[in-house]
Amino acid sequence: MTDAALALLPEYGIPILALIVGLGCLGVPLPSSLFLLAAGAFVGAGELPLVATAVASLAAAVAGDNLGYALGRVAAAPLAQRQPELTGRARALLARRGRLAVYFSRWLVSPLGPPVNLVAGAGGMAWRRYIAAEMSGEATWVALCMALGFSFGGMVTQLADFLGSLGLFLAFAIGAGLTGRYLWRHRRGGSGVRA
Amino acid sequence: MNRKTPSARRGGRIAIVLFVIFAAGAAFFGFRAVMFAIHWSIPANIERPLEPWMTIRYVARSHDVDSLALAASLGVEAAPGRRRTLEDLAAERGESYADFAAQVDAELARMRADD
Repeated sequence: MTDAALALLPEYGIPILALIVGLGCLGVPLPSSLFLLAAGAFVGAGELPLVATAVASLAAAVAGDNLGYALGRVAAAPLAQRQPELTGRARALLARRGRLAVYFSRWLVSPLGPPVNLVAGAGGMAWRRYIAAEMSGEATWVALCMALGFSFGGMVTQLADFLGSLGLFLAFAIGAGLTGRYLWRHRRGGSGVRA
Repeated sequence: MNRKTPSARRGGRIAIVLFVIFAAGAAFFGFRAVMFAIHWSIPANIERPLEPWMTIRYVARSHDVDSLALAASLGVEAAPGRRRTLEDLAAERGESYADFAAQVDAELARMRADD
C-alpha cells in the first residue's frame, strides 16, 4: 500500500504532495509525513526543486489547518450559546496554553494536529495568535521531515514508521496524563466539580 | 461514604476506561518506537531496500554512488526532470520489476566493491 501511494510522488510531483499534506492537516488519514520525507529524498536526488517543494508543502499545510480552524469556529457558534460555561473554560485554557498546543501539535505530536485546529477555532482562539503558532509549527514539520528525508533517503519508510510511533506514543501519553489527572482530582467522593 | 451523583459516577467510569485505553496505546507505541530505535542503531540492521517507486537518481544518492555511472551501466537514461521509477524502467525494458531490481542491486554491489 505504501509503495502504491509513494509511486504517485515521482509521477505527479509537487501537486500530489501538496494535496496529501493539505488533506492530512485537515484530518484525512493520509501518510503526509512519509510523503514529506520522500519529497526531501527526491530533492536530495535532484528530482524535485527544493524551494518550490518546501513552499508548496508549507502553503498546503497552512491551508488545511486554517480550514480546520474555520470549521471549528463555524460549528462552535451554536454550542457557545448553549454551553457558555464550557466555552468560557475552553477560552481560558486556550489563552494560557493555546499557542504551545498549536505549535507542538503541528510536528511533535502530529496526531493531535487536526483536533487542535478544530478546538482552537471552536474555543475562539484569536486568529492572529493561532496563525503565528500554526505557521511556525508547520515550518518546523516541513523542514524537519524534508531534512531527514534529504539525509536518509534510503530509509524513508522506516523513518516514517519510527516517527509515526513516536507521535502516537506522545498523543496517547498526553491522553493518559489528562485522564489520570482528572481521576486523581476526583478520587474519593469528589463532587465532579473541577478542583 | 459515597456522595457522588450518578452522572459523576458515570463520568468517573468513562475516565477510567479512557485512561486504560490511553495508557495501553502509549505503552504499545512507546515500545514500538523504542524497538525501532534499537533496531536501527545497529549498523548491520541498516538496509536500504530498493522500492518500485524509486528513481535511478534516488537509488544512486541513497547508496552513495554516481547516478550517471549507475544509469550508464544499466543502459538507462537518468536525465533530470523525467522521474521514471524503477517500475517504469522495468516496464520499458519489457522485464519484470523483480528482475530489473536484481540487476540494479547487482550493479550497486559491483560499484561499491570498486570503491
